[in-house]
Amino acid sequence: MSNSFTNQCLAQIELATGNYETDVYTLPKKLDEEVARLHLARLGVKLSKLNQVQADYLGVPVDGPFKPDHYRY
Amino acid sequence: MTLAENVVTIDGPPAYDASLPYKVADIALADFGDKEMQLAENEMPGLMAVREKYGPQKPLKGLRVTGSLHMTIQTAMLIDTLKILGADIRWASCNIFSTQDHAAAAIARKGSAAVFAWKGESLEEYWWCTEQALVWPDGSGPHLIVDDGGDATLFVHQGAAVEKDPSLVEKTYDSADEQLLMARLKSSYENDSGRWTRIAESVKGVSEETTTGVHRLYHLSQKGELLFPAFNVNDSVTKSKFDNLYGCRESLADGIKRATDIMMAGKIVVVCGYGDVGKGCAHSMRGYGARVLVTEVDPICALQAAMEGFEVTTLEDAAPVGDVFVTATGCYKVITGAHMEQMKNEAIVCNIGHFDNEIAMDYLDNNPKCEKTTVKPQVDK
Repeated sequence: MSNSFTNQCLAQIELATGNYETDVYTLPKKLDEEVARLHLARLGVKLSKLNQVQADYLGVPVDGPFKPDHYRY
Repeated sequence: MTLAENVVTIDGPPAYDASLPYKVADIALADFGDKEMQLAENEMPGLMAVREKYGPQKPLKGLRVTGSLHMTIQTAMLIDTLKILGADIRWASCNIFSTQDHAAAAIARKGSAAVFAWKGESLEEYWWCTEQALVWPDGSGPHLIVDDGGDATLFVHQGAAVEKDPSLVEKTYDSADEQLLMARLKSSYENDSGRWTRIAESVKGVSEETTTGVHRLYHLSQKGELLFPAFNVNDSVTKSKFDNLYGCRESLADGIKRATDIMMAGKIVVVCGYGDVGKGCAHSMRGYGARVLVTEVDPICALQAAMEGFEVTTLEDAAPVGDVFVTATGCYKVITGAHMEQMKNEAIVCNIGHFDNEIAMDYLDNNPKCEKTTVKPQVDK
């Protein structure tokens, strides 16, 4: 449940510090990727890193977000 | 039906009690709760990282947070994290059976939250606990809600709806759940006819955990009835593509085995629904050597199941042959009395969705031909 609850904390912080209209929102992909990132060390994951040439080729920032919003994993 | 201690019952539902710092099954279980919480630190690195990164800023300082979420060791870790972020917290479970009493005790003893939760609540106690979590002793409500299935959000919305149209409390409702909630709201309206409207106005927002709760939010929003902003946490990729899938991939077998001790190998397991949860369930059961049948209404999910090598069929065809039936649809009365009448003797029927109305429990509870023997808590024949 660490994934779920990390998302919950980030959403609570957003609601507390942001100014949201009455609507239903999802967390931005940058925060979604951050949640995943926070769980990698525990599982011994060695994440690869894009160089700038590769990032430009893909049209994404070196540190993400790496996928468009419509990507469905 | 036993009622919680220290609760004054007059006519109608047990009254809200501002004097209670908590209500748990047994505070003496707190040591065990603390030990398991300490072990959970290594298993919940995301939460520990949130504490380190955001704790010093105290972004939730001065804010009141209500939680309606299974009161387990893992939730206790979430509560402690919110506390470190500065929040003033009140908590209830979102399910009458899911509380781990040692987790509730640990939270109660250390004072991280005013917690009102125990394993084996009655439905009436459940709504009492929810109200205890929503209202502070000075009569104020939360600034923020952490919801799982939308019951806290529902309570506030229905409360405000009753204050606009009090005749709502005089109607009869289909489910005991709705009936009992409305009974509480009737009492509340008689005591203070503007409470929930005021409370709704001061809620900055809700973060909703699960598919079922999210459907309720979108439904409210589409009707123009949503009263405050909401974050759909379920549809973060790191939630629904992980905990719904991989969490259930492990917890389904755990639940079935704790309940029945059966082996899955060689059994025919019927998984109703091939969404994130159904996928986890089907793959888990296959891993144990079960023969998995899937039922689905959505052609995309049905095709996914077929391409993964599962037989996709209807409940009508599966009912006579299944040994175990698992509902994972988010839908209503998927397994009916008619299906159950076709099943093998001692077939196992279980639900992993948020609400157990995926199975026609009213058929089992009300049909005079159905005889119920309780094998152990939460396991009935």
